Amino acid sequence: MAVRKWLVIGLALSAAGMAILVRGNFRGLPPCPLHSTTGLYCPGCGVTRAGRALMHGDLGTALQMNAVAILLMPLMAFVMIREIAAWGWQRPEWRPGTGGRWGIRLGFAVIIYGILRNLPGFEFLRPGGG
Amino acid sequence: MSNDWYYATGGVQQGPIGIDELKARHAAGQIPANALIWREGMDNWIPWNQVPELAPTPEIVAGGEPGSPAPTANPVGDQIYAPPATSPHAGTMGRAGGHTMNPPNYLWQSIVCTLLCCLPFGVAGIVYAAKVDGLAATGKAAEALEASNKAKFWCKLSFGTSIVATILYFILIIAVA
Repeated sequence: MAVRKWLVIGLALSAAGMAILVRGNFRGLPPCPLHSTTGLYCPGCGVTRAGRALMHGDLGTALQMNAVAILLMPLMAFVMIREIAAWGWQRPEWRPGTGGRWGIRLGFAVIIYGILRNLPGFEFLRPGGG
Repeated sequence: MSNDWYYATGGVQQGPIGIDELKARHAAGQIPANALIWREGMDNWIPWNQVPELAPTPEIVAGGEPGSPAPTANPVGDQIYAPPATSPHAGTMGRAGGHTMNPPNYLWQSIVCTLLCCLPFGVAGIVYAAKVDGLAATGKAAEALEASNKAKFWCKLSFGTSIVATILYFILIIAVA
């Protein structure tokens, strides 16, 4: 079944990504394309470093790099696993819900976080604390 | 019943055939439950389980040949919501068996893309995603679908660009090393 094949490919790529994240050094990991071209910090800047720190058990550094992404990681994992499971097992009722009002608030909070990171006085929100 | 039914599996269109033949091929397992169905007069291709004439009937379930797939299995994915794209009738969005279905809002996908793809495209996704439910709730089906499609577009652009950039980056690293 094609779905199962893609599940296996996805898991293999995830494992490879995690291995690169754990074993690779910072110079070997892709930088944020937005930050390297414009100097701006996007809401996702620092996620790679945060993920690497997390996998080395360094929660403090992970939170310094991108606190919002780390705090939302369980939620993101939850919805993605549900979506993948719904697709892989053909069970549409497993798909994540729409999120409702709080989902929308969360979305705008992420946007505001991205804006604040670029403003003076909010340097502590930047990867590594500015 | 005239021979005016078409079905598509794996991107290949089959038909025209009669509805009885269609049901027979489905019962024989040749047409999966997530196949797209179209006949003259429909606005668009719609999934098998959303075609009123093909709604799971007791006779198919009970009288199906041994080993035939259950016709009630729902497809997962975009197809569920695809039909009303070109429909001029606002309010008929994604109608399946009498109950209306909102288009997907792509909110969590947009948030994930914004946080994990390191590109500003996800922000546009969140903005459009935030509109979808409200528009659908006020009966603006066409606008809701448009917002849904735009959110989806920005998600895909964000995800695709990110993947391509990452692959190019690693190719570059390997080439330099």
